[in-house]
Amino acid sequence: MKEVNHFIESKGDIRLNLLDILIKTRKAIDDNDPFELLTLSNKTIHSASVHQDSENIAVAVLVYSMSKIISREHYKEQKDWPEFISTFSAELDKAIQNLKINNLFGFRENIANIQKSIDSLSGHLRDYIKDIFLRASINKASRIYEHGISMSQTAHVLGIMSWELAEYAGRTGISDVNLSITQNIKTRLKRAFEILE
Amino acid sequence: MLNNSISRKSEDFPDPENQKFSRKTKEQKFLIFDSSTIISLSLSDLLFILEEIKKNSPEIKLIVSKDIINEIVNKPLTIKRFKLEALMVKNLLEKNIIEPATNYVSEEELEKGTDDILNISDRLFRAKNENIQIMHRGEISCIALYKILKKKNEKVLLIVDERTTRMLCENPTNLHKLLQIKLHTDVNYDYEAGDFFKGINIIRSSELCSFAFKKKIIRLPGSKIESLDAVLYALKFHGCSISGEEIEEEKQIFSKI
Repeated sequence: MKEVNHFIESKGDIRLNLLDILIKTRKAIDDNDPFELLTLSNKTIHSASVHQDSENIAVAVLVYSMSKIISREHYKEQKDWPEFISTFSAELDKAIQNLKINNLFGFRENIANIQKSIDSLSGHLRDYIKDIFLRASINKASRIYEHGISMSQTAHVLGIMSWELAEYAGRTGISDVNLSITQNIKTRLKRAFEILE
Repeated sequence: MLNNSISRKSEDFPDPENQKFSRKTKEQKFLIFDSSTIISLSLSDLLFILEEIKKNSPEIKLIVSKDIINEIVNKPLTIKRFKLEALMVKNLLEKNIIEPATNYVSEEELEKGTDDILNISDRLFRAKNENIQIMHRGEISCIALYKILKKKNEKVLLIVDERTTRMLCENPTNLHKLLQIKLHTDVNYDYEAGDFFKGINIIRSSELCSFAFKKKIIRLPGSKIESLDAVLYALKFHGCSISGEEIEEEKQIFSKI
């Protein structure tokens, strides 16, 4: 099946939602507002859980990563920082324009360029930012798993390992939600002992 | 007497055509492992219990599908952070403690079963004009394996630590509610299709370890309850979806044994 260079009509709300998120992200970066970025990143999770599309996932990870990056002043003292933030902002502006004209391939290229710009950074800043992006992916995966998508499916969608997600999700309260308790312990233990003994 | 000698003879000369799938004995039991269970056991340094369970009860077959082997061995072998864990699991596979499912069912049958069930699970929940893919091929392969072995009248248990598979099989209504609450939107659930997942017997690594604990396979210093508490919380912190409330209940049950 040939891939089309636009968000298909039924997914129109994805495009508009992403456009809204990215416009607000641009402003939050200018305002140096990590909390707003965190809120914006959370807003993409509902949509990412349903559609599991690479665009929503990439934006969720990107915006969350930026919230972490700009909340730590020491990144800004690194020599490559001005170049990184300038490339990031320029690609973000282009991504907004591409979303406006429904140019899906262009939008994807802009997101890929941001990721590439991290690889071209030198030394510590590259390692810091790469690490933040990985942690952001695991955090977003945990949120999608929390929404009811299985562990392996979530890991697959986010391109991380189930092992990373298990370690992270285990430290959250996901398993303590009342709806997760599906059978009483006695029944389950009895079942285990019956077959194992 | 005659019957016995006939049966012995037939064992001495197995049909070479069916040799691969003729390992069934009367007591044979199957524990099907999802990746999530192997992960939490491995990260909690409790994989050794599988070896002990197998040593004590060779009739228990600990099996994994090809998709699960990919998740627990092949993929983590490429990542330094989990390479050691992957090698430890690989060691269990090489020692036949954990076996590939294809030792007992044909790959074609399992692949077809997995495809069919994936088709069902992908259509169970729908929101915003789109089917929600809630499950991954690996998890579905465990369910397919369970169904195939059940059809052959085998005793089977599915061991899953991750939450969604368990909710889907044991209380899909709760899963439906969870999706609606978390997604903040109407989610349609195909109840009829959901019936396919009913009646699947599931335990978690926590129940497996409780058994190991009772059989003194796990021995730790300190009181019985303190040790059990440590084991269950280790599993929980490594991804086993057991609640704090359930852990307390399990400890209470054990204090009376």
